[in-house]
Amino acid sequence: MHEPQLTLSPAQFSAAFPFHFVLDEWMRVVQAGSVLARVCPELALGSMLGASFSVERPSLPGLEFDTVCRHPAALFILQQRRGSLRLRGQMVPQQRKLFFLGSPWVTQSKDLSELGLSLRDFAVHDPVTDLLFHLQTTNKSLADAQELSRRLREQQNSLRAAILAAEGAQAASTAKSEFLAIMSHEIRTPLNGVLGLLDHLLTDDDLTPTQLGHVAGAIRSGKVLLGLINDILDFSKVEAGKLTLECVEFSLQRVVAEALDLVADQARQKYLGLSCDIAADVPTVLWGDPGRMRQVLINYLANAIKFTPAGSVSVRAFLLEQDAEQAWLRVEVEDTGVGISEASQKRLFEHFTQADVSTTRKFKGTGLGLAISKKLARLMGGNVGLRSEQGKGSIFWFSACLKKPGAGRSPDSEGGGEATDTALARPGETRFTGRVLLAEDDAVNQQVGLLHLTALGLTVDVVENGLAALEAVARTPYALILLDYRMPDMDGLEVCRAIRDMHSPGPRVPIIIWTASLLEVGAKVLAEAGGDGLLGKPFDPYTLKSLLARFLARDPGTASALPARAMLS
Amino acid sequence: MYGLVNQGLEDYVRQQFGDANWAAILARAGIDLDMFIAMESYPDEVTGRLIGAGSELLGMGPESLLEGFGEHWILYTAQAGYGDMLAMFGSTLQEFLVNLDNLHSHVTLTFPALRPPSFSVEQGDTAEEIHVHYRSSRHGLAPFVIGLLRGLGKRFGQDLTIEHLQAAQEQSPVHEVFRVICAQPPPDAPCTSRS
Repeated sequence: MHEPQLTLSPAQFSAAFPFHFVLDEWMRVVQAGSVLARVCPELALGSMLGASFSVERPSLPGLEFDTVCRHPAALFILQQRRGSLRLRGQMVPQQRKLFFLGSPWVTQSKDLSELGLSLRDFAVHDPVTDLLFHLQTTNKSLADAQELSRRLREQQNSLRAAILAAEGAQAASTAKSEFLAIMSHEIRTPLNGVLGLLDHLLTDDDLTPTQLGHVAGAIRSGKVLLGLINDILDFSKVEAGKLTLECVEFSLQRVVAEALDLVADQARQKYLGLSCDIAADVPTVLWGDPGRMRQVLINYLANAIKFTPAGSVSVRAFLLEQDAEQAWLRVEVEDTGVGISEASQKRLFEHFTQADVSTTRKFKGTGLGLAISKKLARLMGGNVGLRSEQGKGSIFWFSACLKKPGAGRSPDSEGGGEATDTALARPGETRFTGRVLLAEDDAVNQQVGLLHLTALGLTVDVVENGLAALEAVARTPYALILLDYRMPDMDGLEVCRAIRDMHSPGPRVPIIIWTASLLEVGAKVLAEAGGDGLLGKPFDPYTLKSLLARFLARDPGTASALPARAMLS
Repeated sequence: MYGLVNQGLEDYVRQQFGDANWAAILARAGIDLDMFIAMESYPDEVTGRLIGAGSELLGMGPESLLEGFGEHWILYTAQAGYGDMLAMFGSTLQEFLVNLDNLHSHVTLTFPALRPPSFSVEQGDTAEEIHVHYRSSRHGLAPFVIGLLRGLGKRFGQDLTIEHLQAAQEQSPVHEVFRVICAQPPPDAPCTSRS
């Protein structure tokens, strides 16, 4: 069987090889493809190849017929002498003729237009078009890679800027917390003097009823101011991550009762009904931070009373869920007050936000109470929320996750637990015995401490700095020591450590740090220094008594030196 | 679809409707990508989601969006570096349309996962009229082809009237016929594939 033979007419051959040419044995052009003849007119019939093209590859000693014939398998690269046309192909010798079969070599599509070529000038089988597509696509991929790299660099720069901004914000926040700590100390110290002396003034039998009214009014205003400072301080502590929760045994029923008790007068003045419903399945004993629970509840109740012109305010508490170790509770405060618009509800729990500006003018306040409540609830593993309808009233709620007795730590009625002695809350029913040391550099606060401690039946030695305190402790066995935190030579914690070192082998004397800088002295710092309790400045007489009751023996048969009216404040 | 197509859609939306709308379309389509890569093959469904989200966000039907994109596609591919290549395939609209199928054959060699459409051209009843036959394994892209023809008309400076003669979306492969009438009589051009 014969192998098929391809016979092409000159036109077919020219279409298949539009860039071909044929040379005779003297290397003269005897035939040229139509396209090549068009773009390279100097390759005229009868002209010498060497006149219009040089051979770049292969390297030949000379452009003679026989020399070229010796390279039938070589890739020939021909460069146009008076132009940029470059041909690639092979030389096929046949019957003393050389056939060049090839096509232009281009690496970018614009080369074609520069050479005066278009797609239809190429044979269909010629891969030049595909090569150009491929090269352009490679260029596009490179452009994509560069764009990706640029975006990555941009993101890295943004990230670096964000980190710097976050560091700046953190530094500003720390500076703000420190500023607030100092300011709160500076404000609370004189306020302690004012409130402490006013509290004691109420016990003065010689005051006329009018004077008593003035004193009570001054105390109320002082306490409002203290409340504002405490709000700002609490918020700063939460923001700075310095607010830690207590975990003591307490009763939710008691917390609710105390909160209601505290707001009962305000409700009565507006003729509002106050009620409470605690579901039967709420455990009677729980572990958590009753002070903070009470704080949130009082905040809700005070708001409810403030914004309710008529009707009632009620508290509901119920169990959401419980397991062997924990109980999830929800406490709600419902009022029949003015209600809150839907738009205001969304931002009510944000910082420094009240329902609107007119609310601030009408009802006063910093707008921090709800933001603090939210943060406290979150710290307690719960959340906050509200439902409200304008003109009909509101329900504010918070939830908390509390430990159940026997989960993790056992109840210890002697230590850490919330005071359950109702006698403490009543004036004139509690006095203590013993000798205590008070170290305080501020003369007014010395007087405040002295008056209150003496009124509670205690014998008090007062010193004005840390060194004097250490000397006194070395001389005298005290039942309790009260140390101001900020004193000029040694601060209260340093004195506390020094006393613990002195007394390490003997009986442990209770030490209370008295401070207006609650941001700086947390429970952890106190425990590390060997302290037993913290007393804020200013303090409530009830808080002082509760604290002393943890450490001092009571005087059972003695009548109180504080008259009943002292608790009017 | 290759990333180049999605890049073209992105370019169209950014230019016509703004960067924010493109970001919103990506988010709505649930596509979390910094950018599409031209040579990467993405599932068709990604382009479908982009068109769907764009249609909802921009308040226009998916057909209108596809047609606008088709018109922009010619401009975009030229911008993306293929302008000279396009020029190689014809200096008149008719020549380009005749060569359109060949163009896709060449592109197939560079984009190996491509499922290219097929085009053929017939002379219509008058000298101004040609019929473009479009065949594709993909459904729903007829509006894109109409836009593509409009874009080509702009490229060659010719006002076109395009009529969708045959709608056979449910067929597989899809076979659509478009009657294209040029406002000015086209210069003589062969209406058969180049060999």
